[in-house]
Amino acid sequence: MSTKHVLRVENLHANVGELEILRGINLEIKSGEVHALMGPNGSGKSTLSHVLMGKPGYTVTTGTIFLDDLDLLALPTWKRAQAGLFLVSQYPSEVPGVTMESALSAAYVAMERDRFGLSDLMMAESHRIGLPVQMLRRSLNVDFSGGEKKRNEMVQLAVLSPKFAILDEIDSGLDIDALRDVSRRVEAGTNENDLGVLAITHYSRLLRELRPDKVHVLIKGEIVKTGGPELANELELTGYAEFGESEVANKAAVGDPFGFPL
Amino acid sequence: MDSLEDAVRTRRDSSLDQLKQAIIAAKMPTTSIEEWRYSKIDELELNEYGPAVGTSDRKVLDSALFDIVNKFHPQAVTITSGNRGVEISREVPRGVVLEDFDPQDISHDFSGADIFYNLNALLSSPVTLIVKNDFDTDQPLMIVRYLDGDHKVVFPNLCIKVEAGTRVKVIEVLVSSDQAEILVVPVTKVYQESNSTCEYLLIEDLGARTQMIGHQISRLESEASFKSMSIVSGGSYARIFTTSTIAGAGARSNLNAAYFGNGDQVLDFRTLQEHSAKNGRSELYFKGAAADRAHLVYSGLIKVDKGATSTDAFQTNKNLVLSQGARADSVPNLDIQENDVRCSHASSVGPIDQEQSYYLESRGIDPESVQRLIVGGFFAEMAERSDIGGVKEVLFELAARKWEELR
Repeated sequence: MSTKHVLRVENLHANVGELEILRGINLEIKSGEVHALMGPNGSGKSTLSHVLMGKPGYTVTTGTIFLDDLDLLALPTWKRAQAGLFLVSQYPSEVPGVTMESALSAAYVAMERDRFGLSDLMMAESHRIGLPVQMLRRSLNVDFSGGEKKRNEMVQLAVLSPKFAILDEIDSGLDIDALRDVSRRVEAGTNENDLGVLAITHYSRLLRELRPDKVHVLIKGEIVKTGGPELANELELTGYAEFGESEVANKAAVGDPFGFPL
Repeated sequence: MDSLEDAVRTRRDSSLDQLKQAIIAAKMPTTSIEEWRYSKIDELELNEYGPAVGTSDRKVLDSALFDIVNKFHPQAVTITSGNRGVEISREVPRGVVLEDFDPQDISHDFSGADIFYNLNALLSSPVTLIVKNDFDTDQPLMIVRYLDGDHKVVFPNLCIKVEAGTRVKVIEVLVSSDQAEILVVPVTKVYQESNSTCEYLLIEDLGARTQMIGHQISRLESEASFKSMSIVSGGSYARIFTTSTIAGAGARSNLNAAYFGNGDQVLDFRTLQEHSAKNGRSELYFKGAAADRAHLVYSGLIKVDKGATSTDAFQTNKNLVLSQGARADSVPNLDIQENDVRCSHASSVGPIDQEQSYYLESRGIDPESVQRLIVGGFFAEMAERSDIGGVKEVLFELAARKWEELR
């Protein structure tokens, strides 16, 4: 068993422009744990993922983010990634002319990892997630389907083998088969590599595949409730109404077109 | 004889004195003319250049870009010329006739003719390749020009005639040394008969003090297919005016260029996709990057004549501006005289996309390597637009060498 790590977010406040989006987030995720962060549209879910990763355009006004004793807020995005953070973004960028092979190879060079065996590892991981290996030599995400994009992200996740993964609405644009494959791969990461996971989602559908240890409810930039997996089931039935969100909004948010009662 | 145009038209029957008068009377264009806007024409003094005679020594010239394509095509027939004569690497293959006249002189009705085109027509003798229908090799024909001199002007003139139903690959290479203070005025003409296919690659690896003002002209008869890739690296000022004419029904023209300017380079591209016949298709994709104080110019026109129904014509120009002092101007235009057509033009000018950088940096790649990857990718993406071996590697080298110069 590898060393245990902790990703700790304390009293995190962040703005986009003048507008405060995150209003005091507290979270603690340990290696091997899966945390789900659920919330309606506009609650700050994606903002949190980008603030964790250090995307330009977001200003942290108060609070801290530590990975073990490393102050992530003091680091640029690439150093946070090197420290062991990985973001599976909701809409992975298209990068014309840059293949996964060249990107991961550059990442290995930047991290001073040995590239021996990298190519085999990429191919093995492609097979494992069901991504045709020729996709490794195509421009990243250019003309990829929703499922191919997320499988592609899974190969990168597996190859880079971070300590913590933030999954930003990975269920968007995925059919049921792809969602299951992606969830299983993440879950395998938690078992085999002690990966810690923060899964941000609208829908409890993802959480039937990716069984969380903890579920947090994010409303208007604050975590208003934390519980076990049963909290996701509750939300499936009642929506976010009890947290002061309007009936229409919470139906829209929780009503999963593919959903069925648990 | 009133003008240079007249002189070109009647040149075979004119006296030397008549030609001389026409040349003396010829007027240089200025940047106030739309086709020369943003160009460096106002700084060019033709008086400073004399004819280039016997001044090239190809043994001292080298080009990493040429070396790459050369390595990919060891069996290619290479026709080498300096400012002077022509050397041929091996026997000209069956089906190719080498001539020194223009087999299908379009000089008199070429709408893009300017003083440089006309001077080339008057003062050069072409290397002409007539590719006959019994030509059948996949090996490209390679024409390599080693150019040199001190205040000389050189007029390379390449004519390629592809007979009906014939397929050929042609690579043209222009090389000069960094010391060469020369003006290169190349004209390349491709005439394609019906159902012929021509793949053309230009490697421009001119030295830092060379200026180039060139024309690339292709004229396609029915169902002919032309695919070109121009890779432009050097020259203090390098300009190419590309004209492709869909002259016969169902012809297809695919025009591509990749260029990277740095230092004080001005790289200037003018294009005309002219549809004179129906069912034609032209697709243009020009991509450039500018660093330091370099200036990229793109100005392109799609012209669909009356009667050219069911035309598809597309034009895309993308510019990556990598430093504060660099600049790119992109001016796409349409002139459509027919209703039943599908045309589009798109252009973009901007720095490296922040979403792309963020995405790659979130994989642990440092910002400098990210930039290098994205710029490399910007050019690598062009590789699939040519079927000539080595293009991918040349594009890689272009991005890599310019990147090294930036640091």
